[in-house]
Amino acid sequence: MNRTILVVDDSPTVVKFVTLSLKNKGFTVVAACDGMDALEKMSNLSNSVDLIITDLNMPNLDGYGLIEAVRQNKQLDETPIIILSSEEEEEDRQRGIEVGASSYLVKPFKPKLLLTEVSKYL
Amino acid sequence: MSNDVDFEMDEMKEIIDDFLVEAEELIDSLDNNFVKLETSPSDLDLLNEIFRAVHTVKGTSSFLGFDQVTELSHKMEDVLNKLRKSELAVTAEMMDLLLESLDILKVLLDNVRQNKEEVIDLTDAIARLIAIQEGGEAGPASEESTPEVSETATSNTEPAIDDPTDQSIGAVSTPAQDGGPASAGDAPQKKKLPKKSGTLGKSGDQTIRVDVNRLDSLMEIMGELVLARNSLLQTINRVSDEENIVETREQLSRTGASLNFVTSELQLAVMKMRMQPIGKVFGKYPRIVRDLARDQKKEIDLQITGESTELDRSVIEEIGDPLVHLIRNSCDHGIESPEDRKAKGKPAKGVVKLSAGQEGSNIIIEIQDDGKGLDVDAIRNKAVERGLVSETEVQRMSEKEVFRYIFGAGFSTAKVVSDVSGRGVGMDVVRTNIEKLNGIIELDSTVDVGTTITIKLPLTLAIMQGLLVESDDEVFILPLASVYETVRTEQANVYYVNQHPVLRLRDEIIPIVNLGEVLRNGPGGFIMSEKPYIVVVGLADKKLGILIDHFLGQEEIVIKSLGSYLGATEGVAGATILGDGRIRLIIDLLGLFNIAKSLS
Repeated sequence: MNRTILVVDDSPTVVKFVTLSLKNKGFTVVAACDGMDALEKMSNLSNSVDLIITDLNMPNLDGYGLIEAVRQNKQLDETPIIILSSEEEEEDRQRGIEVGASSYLVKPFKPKLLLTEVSKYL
Repeated sequence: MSNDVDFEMDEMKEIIDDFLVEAEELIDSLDNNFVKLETSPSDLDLLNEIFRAVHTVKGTSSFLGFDQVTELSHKMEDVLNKLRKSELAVTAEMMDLLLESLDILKVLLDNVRQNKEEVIDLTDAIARLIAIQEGGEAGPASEESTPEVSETATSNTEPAIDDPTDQSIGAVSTPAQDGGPASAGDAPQKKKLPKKSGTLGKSGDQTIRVDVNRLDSLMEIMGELVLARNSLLQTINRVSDEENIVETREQLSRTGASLNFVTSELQLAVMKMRMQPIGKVFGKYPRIVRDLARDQKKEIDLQITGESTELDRSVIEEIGDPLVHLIRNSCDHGIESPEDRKAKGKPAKGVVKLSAGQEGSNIIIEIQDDGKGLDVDAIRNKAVERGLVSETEVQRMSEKEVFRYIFGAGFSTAKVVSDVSGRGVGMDVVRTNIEKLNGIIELDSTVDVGTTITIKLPLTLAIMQGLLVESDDEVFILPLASVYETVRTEQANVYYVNQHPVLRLRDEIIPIVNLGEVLRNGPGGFIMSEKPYIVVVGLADKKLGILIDHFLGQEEIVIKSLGSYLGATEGVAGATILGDGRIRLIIDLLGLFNIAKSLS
């Protein structure tokens, strides 16, 4: 069956890149441009989101905020979340995991690495 | 590039194209935001926006393996991060460096676009970014880190104002594209900016983004048009029914009125889809002014109003470069140095105002500075010196008439040809561009008060208001936007200068041509009735009186080309079909001016 992945990034290029890598592997991809947009997309989707891949630094609602919001939502709190960020510092990684991310990948990354990470959860 | 991706080639190309569009938008916004940041360094929202933009460029480029872009934006990001955390304070030198780095980014992205596998030397820029990030001043830091770099690079950190020629040589000899010391910032910057706007014009290919609301309103109008058509068809069916002839006639006139309304709405809606805010062009100017001011050690405040004024896309594309030139002129020749200004009792900071607004079916763009103004006598002397006019004649001319000489080719009174405006691109190029758009340009100036340049452009090139006139029993159309006034004068007001008729209108002397005579190109002769009708038209900086037989009225017309057989007829811009179904010729003013010139 078709698994749905939500990709959240304010850069259309990254969204496209990730989307294509995932679509080529048969996933359904929903894209959002920031945290707010992501929450809205999730509440409007008929089927549930199986995995979230999110950037950290975004306008309106950043990645941390999104993860916190997801973890506080009873229906969504089990959804695995992969952070995809260009922040390389250890404190960013720690904070990300603290608020509830499942994995932390640093950009740039090899699509294969992303796919391996995704396959851990789906 | 990340080679182990199982992407198709065209998928990859699509991603890269998207990246370029995205990066270009971000960098355009950065240009202005950096300039804004310099004036309001404590604006944290602005700083965050800037940081995010650079961050995104870094992130995405790293993704696609454009390592140089990543490296440079990364170092910029480090500086911005410290600013964001208030660990560093904004300085002019820092902004110079950041803007300079931004310019290198533009070159790098241009290379990506053109598929050039070229490596640009980033060492200097990166060393300086690191130095500034570590808390050093840009000046001393760069001295430390760039002892081995060529002179142009160092002269850049301490702009060599007192030797402009040297700099302009630098501009020619170190184009960043050659991969030389690209970081010799100021030089490549200046070379690049105009070039950039040029490429933008071209790359802004044949697609246009339209606001959905506009499409919706178009659909709505189409609905009304269908209703009007139905009603018309119904009425036509009833025309043969003689019993209800009065009622039918009434209905027909109602339908006619509604069709009239709907079609004008439709016309407006379609036109609006081609319209874009002029802010698209204006957006590039704060950066240009900022750099000029820095270079020349002047203080200039650029105030922009009316960015949302909309213009036809084709006009927007043409107007950008002339405006850059005019703004440069204002900054370079208009605004004085802070010392000079203080000595004159003016505030040290000069003001350049750029505004746009709509006036009827015209757009008015105004560039106003509070600088030193134009020296009328210098222009008079220069005009005489160049043999354009005689000494006695020039003394009789009004100031406004004298100012028109600066639109002539190669006419410059600037004593010191500076690096900025004195580059062989003169006001005549501006004039030519405005002429192409059927616009009018006017200049007004008062010594030590400032100069105001007013440009009047038609809203669109496809539809225009036409003035219908009759000459030798033929109806012609003149573009109303170019008409200054229509006069019915007396023969006594027409004088002859070297056998050429001129009209004396208040304090102006305007040459006249007989429309019928000019177009027929034959010896129709210049015959006037007792009280001749004359249309005074303007094109760019010139005025011309056109002698006609009658005025017939005005009408909104749609310009149709004459096709390849007749297309090149001088003096004729095209044709249109009027309400009565007849084809009429539209006069091309540029052509008419040329013919008039060849007659004299």
